[in-house]
Amino acid sequence: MLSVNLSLLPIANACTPSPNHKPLLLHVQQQHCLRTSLPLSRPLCATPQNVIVEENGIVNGAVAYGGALAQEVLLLPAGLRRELMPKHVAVIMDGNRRWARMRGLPVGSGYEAGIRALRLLVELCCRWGIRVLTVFAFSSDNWFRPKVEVDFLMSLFETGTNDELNNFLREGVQISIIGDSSKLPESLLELLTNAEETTKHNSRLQLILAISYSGRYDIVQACQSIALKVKENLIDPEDINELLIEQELETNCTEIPYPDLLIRTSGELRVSNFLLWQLAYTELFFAQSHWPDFGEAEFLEALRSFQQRQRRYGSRDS
Amino acid sequence: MLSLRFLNPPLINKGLSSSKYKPFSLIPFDRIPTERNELNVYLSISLSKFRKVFANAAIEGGEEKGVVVGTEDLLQEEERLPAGLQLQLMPKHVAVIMDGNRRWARQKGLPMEHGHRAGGQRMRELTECCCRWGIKVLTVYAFSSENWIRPKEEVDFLMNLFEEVIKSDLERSIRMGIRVTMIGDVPKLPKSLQKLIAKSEEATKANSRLHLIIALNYSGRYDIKQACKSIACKVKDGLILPEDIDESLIEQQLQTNCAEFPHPDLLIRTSGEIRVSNFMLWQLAYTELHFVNALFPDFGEAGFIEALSSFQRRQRRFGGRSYGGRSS
Repeated sequence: MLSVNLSLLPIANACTPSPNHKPLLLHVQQQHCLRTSLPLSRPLCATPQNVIVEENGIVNGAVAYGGALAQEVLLLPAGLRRELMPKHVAVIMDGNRRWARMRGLPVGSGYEAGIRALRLLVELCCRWGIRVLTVFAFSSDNWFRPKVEVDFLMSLFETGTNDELNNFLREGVQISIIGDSSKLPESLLELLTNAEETTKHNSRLQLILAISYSGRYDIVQACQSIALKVKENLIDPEDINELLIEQELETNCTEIPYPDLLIRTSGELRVSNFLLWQLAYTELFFAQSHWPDFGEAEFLEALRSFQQRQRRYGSRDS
Repeated sequence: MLSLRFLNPPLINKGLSSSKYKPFSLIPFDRIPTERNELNVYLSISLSKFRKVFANAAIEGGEEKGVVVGTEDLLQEEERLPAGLQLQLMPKHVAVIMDGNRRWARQKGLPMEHGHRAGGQRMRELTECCCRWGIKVLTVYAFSSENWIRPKEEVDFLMNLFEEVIKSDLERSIRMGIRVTMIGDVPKLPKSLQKLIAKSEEATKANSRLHLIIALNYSGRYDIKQACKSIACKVKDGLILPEDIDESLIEQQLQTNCAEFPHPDLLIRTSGEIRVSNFMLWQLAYTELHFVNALFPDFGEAGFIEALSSFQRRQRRFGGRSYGGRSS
């Protein structure tokens, strides 16, 4: 006799066409997606024409297909190909203050709206099987902003981390922090360290928060670590190669340190001292909308654009 | 009676000294070197060619005094900025990823070699524009360290083309006041090319109108790695401590330390790809990026003007907040 093991995986998505989305796009909204130990040919309430369903034929043990969790059904929107999904997406979440200013709201409202947009993006990444999401939450250059604004941001990070920790635990999100933590308020540092510790066994999505981060400083500290090893005669200068540097960069906290796709919102065309070494071959996508307005439709657009790119890594096109 | 004397050229206004703008690079923006070659040019131009002239005449008590004639900005003959471009907003350093030569040739049913030659010609034109419009540094990505994996025939052709171009353009570079420097892992290049590079760098080292940096067998990661190695050697030799290592030290070890303005203000990439492909990674931290669909051999003066126009409209904040001006 067959038995079906069901576990509930709450995912907030739409069963009916959402007005924000292109007509052919259907989602499963406010339904629980069922995980079963039997292969599913199609999930509940999705129509076959619009949804790509991953089938999992393995009953026992974990499946390493694309890193997705065992026995999980991935629903991708129309037009996205599973094999072309980026493994690591990085985002420069720019435009919170301009968004607020345009609406006659205080800057703080912009940042709060930005947090909501981040929450949505995390959810989408989980849903669509992206493995790593790195977000530029606070640059080392941002310390020069008005103290009032900086203090507000620090407390917003605290509240955000506190509020979201349970969600992350439930969703299988692993938190990692990169950046110069020595400048952070003690209370925030404690919270972030605790979040890293608590979520370290999660494996659905790794969310890397770049706080007080600078791409140049990342390289400096890597260089310092290497120089220290040279001083202690552990390595020779001749041994220094790209791999060694990669291993010393702060992104050594992940198995996939190089973003496949970088998204920057609000129309600015620069990387602003974000991951510099890591972005060597990253496809760049610049969105016009300000960060709080960057939603599912905008993310889909970025992913579609990414999937059309031809990545050659210096060689000739085939 | 007033007498007019031409004195030594005054300090050239470097343009971007307005308090509205933050410095473009981490290196203190306070050096204004004397440019002897410009002095020569200055003296050879008649008054009528000056675009902006201001004169301070001081006449006291009937005595004759000299009139100091200077220029707010010094441009060569027939040098006018294209309409819409402002001198004070010109980038000091432009970098170009010259992508699309082969696709251009393929589209026209021509062999790959034609594409690269056409690209070479475009590069020449670009250097001319830079000279005319007061851009001080132009860095071009001629050959990446990853390009070795291309077919041998193409790589050999390119190495020969580089030799040909460096040889044939040497005279022109000297005449136009262009200083030529190569960055990249030069020792790995063919010996004959290395010799030519050394000769060209030596012959043009005193030029100061435009610094043309050709990135040959270069990559941004290679640049950082070799800087890291140099620093590690110094640590091993006891010259510095690991804790002394900071951004400034790394800057000094990067191959772009040869340039007065090592960080590009503007990066242009042709042929529609939207990535930096391991070009100057450290240096591009705050660079404004401009991507065009045109293949490089089709990227002419008009395309360059458009890129400069786009650059001049950008609001650069370097991580801080906007300081008024255009609302963001």
